[in-house]
Amino acid sequence: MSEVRRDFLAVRGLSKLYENGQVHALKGITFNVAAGETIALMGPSGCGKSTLLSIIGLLDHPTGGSVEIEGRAQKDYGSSYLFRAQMVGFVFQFHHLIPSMTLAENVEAPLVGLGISRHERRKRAIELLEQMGIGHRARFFPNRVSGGERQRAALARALINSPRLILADEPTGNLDSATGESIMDHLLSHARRNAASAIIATHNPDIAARADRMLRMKDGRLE
Amino acid sequence: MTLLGAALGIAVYVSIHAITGNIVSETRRVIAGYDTDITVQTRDAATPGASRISPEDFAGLQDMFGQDVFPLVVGTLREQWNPYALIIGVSDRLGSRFGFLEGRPLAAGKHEVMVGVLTARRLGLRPDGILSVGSREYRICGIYSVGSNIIDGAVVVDLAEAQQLVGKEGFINLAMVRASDRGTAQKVSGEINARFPRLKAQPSSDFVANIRIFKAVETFALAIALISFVGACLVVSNTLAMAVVERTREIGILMAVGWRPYLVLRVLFAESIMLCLCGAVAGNGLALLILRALNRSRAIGFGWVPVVIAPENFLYSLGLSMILACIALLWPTVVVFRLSPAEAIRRE
Repeated sequence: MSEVRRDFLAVRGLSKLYENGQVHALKGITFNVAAGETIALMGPSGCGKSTLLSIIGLLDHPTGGSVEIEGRAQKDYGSSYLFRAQMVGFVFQFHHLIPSMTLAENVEAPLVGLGISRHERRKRAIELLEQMGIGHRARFFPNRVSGGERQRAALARALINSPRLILADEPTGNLDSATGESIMDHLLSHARRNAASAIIATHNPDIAARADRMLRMKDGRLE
Repeated sequence: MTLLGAALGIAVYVSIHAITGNIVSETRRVIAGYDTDITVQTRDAATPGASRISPEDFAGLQDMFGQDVFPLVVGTLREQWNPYALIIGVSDRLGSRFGFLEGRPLAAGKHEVMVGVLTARRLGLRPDGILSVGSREYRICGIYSVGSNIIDGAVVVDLAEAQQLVGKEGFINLAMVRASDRGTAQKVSGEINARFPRLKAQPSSDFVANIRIFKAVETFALAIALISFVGACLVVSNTLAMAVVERTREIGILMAVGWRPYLVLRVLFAESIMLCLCGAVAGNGLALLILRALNRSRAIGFGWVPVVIAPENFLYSLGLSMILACIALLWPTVVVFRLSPAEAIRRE
């Protein structure tokens, strides 16, 4: 925590307007994230946490401001899809697994567009599922496994491309505390092992306490 | 339901093309079977059946070509045993060239009839049996097979009898000419056309392609095929568009993990191809059932409806289903490319 690390992510004056300018979801958000740093993003529902994560992950466009990764504007990374496939791992509050795909197929999905062979994709997916303790469920469809197993599979999907930035939106929101702890263990250990930065939106102070730094949001601003 | 829609569209297309294609190819085979160089009909006739070559013109042709011109009378009669009974009137010389399975060629003026093998099988007819044609009774002299379903579904009588039966006393429908020793068929046709202004002579190889009614039938078949094709396009396109709408959130998630729209479309394309290919195979099966049912129906006549689908027709329908799969994907493509991943994920 005390070591000086170079900035990985720089968010500058980010704003977002919805509904033809009637809803101001983000109001001049500015902060930096160092490489390998984990940030807990706290705040009440509707304060703009998910919008902020969407914009950082290039799922959405800001109305104003910019996001830089390692000193380069996101648009310099080319296609937003490629940027996400190579750099970002998303974990959603609800697992958001594809019901028609097995857990293994869900986990390997981010690798499909990267030109990695089917065999290699499957190998990596199985390895990751085994690390998560659900290797035996690889061929199961999401509706055949428990909520905790689904969220672990969703985390495996977020980590399979060894992302340098993990964006987690309430990753333990729907889980009991023991399962939530386990998910966080996996997420944080992976981030630290791979020097990946992580921004974790959460309401849970125990989860937030495990991050390197905490940011609080209210009404679209950082407190 | 989508599969059924695609299958119905393909079945309509395949059935109509099988029937029209069969009539054209059978007629071509019949004309080729006479082994003549030139086919002559009256200039204003849209079909061989509507042609009426006068005795004077036929006599003129005989003056030109002697024994190398063969008269032919063709018509249909409404009989109890077949509402579209095809009656063919031939000269002795032509009648003896049919391939006989049983019996012998007909003898002129003896109230005899040669029966095609399809008609014989359907009606259980044998040589020396009696067949009523045009309210007259004829003794069956032979059962023939020439390999053409339409001709094998017909009955053949003496030329003069046929003229009376189909109401063309003295007139014939077609004159078939052998003229290979006089120059090219094109050149001799030109000589006939110049000498007989009421007649239209054409090389036999071109005759079927130039029958006006066939062109009209083919245009009609094309129109029906287009309508069924557009209908199938709408059905499949609607299904794929619904698949995109129902799976909006899933598509958004895949885009969030790095799938480009083209990867999503690849999945939809695979679904579309599978759907349309299955539709094509099912459609061909359905068409086969339709053709068999029509073939068994006495209301249409013997031999006019094929009971098989030509391989090229089957392959063509598969190709058409591929085109269908691509066109049906146009609207879903627009939807996918306009989709925002963030909005898609929020969609319930």
